[in-house]
Amino acid sequence: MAVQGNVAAGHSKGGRLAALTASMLAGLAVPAGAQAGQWGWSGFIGSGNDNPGCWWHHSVAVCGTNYWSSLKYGRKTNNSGGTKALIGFENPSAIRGLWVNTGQTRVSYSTSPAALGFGTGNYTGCHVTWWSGAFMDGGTHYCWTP
Amino acid sequence: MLNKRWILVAGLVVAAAVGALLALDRSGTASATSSIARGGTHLSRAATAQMKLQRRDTSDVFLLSTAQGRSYYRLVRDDGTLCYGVGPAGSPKGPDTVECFPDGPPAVIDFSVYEQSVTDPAIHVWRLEGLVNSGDVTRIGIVPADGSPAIDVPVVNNVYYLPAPPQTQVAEVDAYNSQGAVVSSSKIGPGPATPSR
Repeated sequence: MAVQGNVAAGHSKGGRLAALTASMLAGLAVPAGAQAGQWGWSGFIGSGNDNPGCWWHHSVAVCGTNYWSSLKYGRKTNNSGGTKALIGFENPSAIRGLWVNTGQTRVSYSTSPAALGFGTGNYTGCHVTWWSGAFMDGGTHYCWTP
Repeated sequence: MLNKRWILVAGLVVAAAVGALLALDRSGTASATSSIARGGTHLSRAATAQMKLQRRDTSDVFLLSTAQGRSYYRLVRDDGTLCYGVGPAGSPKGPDTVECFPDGPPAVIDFSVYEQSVTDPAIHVWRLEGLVNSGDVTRIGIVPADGSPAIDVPVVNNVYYLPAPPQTQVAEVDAYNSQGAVVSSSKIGPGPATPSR
């Protein structure tokens, strides 16, 4: 079952700083106001913490300590509460993942950035979107603000 | 004497047939059913060891099929749980995405990758891919949110695959039977619910 979800805590200070810098640079590269909303970088969020526009749920997902080399998703309870989720990885320009639908009984899956077509050269972060229009993840996160 | 010989020959033929059936059953390659709960080519211990699946408590891996540069696997955990995976064809690492189903595989195992990007923020299918565990399902379709006709692909050997679908916002991914009726539907995209905290 899912694992302590504090992926942000898995970073060293240096790693965090590097990721932070990369994310900020990436954020600058994001075109402001694409269509009906915009992408913006919201910084690190810790396990169980809320962040405006984004939401990270404790123990829902965990990224491997090997620089997001793997992602495991464990459902804590059944999904009948109406939660839909996109679970996968993100880089500054896109998020990609598998879809978990309402009522679906996906118990666990694992994947990797490469499996989702992200190159190794890009910074990628673990990503979970609970479908309320906001994105969240366990590391840096890029929120789509409708 | 002749009768005894005939009995002996008949016995040998029957034994050989039973043996062959058992062998085929173990390898699964002769499975008559289209279910993915069985079947596939049982990979060798050496090949399985290369996949480094021990941490998944998985020692039995079956190659279900390979097509269009992708390989599809059935993995059996030591506790009997069935898992399914997909990855680049011929990769010694085996599947790079795996999902497990303690209650058995559903009718459709969707390994599709969904994407939102800065340039195309509406959720769309980046890669349509999955396994079908039902002979009833013959096609899988992406239903665009704008009401345009579904983009559908056939199910071949329990696999559906479309590497680069049109990047149109997706509303549903549907499974169709041979008559074109929707057998199951997965609603994609915004919904009213948010998780309880």
